[in-house]
Amino acid sequence: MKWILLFLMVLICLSTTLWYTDGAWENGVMPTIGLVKTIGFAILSVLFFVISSKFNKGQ
Amino acid sequence: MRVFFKILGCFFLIASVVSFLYYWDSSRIYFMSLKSKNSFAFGDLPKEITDFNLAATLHLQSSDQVSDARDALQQAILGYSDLSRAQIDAQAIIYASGGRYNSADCDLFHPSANLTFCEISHYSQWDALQAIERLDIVMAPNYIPKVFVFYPAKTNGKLVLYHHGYAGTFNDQHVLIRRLVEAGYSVAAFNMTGYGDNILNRPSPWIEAINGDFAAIDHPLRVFFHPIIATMNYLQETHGFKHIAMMGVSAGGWATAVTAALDPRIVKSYPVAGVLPIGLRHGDKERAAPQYYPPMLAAASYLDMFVLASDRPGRSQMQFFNRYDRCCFNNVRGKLYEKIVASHAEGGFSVLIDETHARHKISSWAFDHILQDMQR
Repeated sequence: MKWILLFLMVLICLSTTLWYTDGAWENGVMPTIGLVKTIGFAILSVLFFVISSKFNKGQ
Repeated sequence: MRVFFKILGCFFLIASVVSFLYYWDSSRIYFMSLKSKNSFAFGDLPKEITDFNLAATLHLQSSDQVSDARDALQQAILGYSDLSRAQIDAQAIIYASGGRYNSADCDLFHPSANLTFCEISHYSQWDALQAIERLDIVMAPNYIPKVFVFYPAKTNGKLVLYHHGYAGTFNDQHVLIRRLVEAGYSVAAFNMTGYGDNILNRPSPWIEAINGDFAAIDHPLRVFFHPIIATMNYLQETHGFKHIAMMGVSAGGWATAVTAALDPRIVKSYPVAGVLPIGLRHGDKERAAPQYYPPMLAAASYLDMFVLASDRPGRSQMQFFNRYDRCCFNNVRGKLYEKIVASHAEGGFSVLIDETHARHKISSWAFDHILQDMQR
């Protein structure tokens, strides 16, 4: 779980860096739509892993 | 329940990684290569293209022919050879640094003047920008193309014409325009006919002509090139620009190549993913009717136009093609004629293949080359 969250953090940082350093726009090396999807899915993934860990603790 | 949420977590983790790899230019090239519909961009060129006799389409064999060929091209496209005839009909400063703009001025991209969507509100945040001027060129019947000129606070005395192609407006390229303005260039930005503020309403002979009915109006290609010539005339008269470069992407690349052939005031030209000799074209997206206008091609083939654009020392053309372009003008076809044109051009002519991405755009790689070349 810890490693998954760390991996997602790295993915978010990497995509944001690529997006920002090439102009933070749709025609950059990481387009804005790519950034939004990558971060959006990563946040959903974190959310569901956190929820699943709550169930763990509950049991 | 715990397992269910874990599966959902894994699903979105994979979706996040796939999104990253799909959109990041470097890994996107690999993704696109897996799609069979893009095989033309990724495979070897077919024999009918590699065996095409390109040299036979180059008619300009000596510098003595250049002037006559340019006159013929001007007559075919514009209907006149005296370029000073082209004039703008109105101009207005729509934004000045430190000043205010109001909603009535805010017609960039959104004539309804909604400041929330007003592009000027973004441009006004550029420190290096002094002013934006709008030029109107009246073209009867019922068409008034608009050109937007970005003036830098610290000018280097050079002008860049940027022509955007279809499917979008120059506002999509704000990062590139900003970099030019920050480097001290004045930038005149053109949208394609019918895009942005260049509104065309049916019925219009211009629309018919753009769609291939060339009999609808005399010299139909004026609709693309007359506003560019008029803009150059106005900016030279008012600001005395001596160094003029032009760049464009997609159909804007075609406009760049043809304008550089028409008007020798353009000393450096950079068509990106927008023009190829007729015999090298492939697929419907490379067959826009205006690019096949018979009187234009009778006056000068595309290879002739490339020579005309680099006809003397000090003038040059650098063409860019996106090797894995998802749209068109892809692969390495430009390399097939590079040596032929370069050997006939007294200026500089080169073709660069951009392998950094699989999109239809001007990449940072290409733009860095353009900036370096312009600053030489």
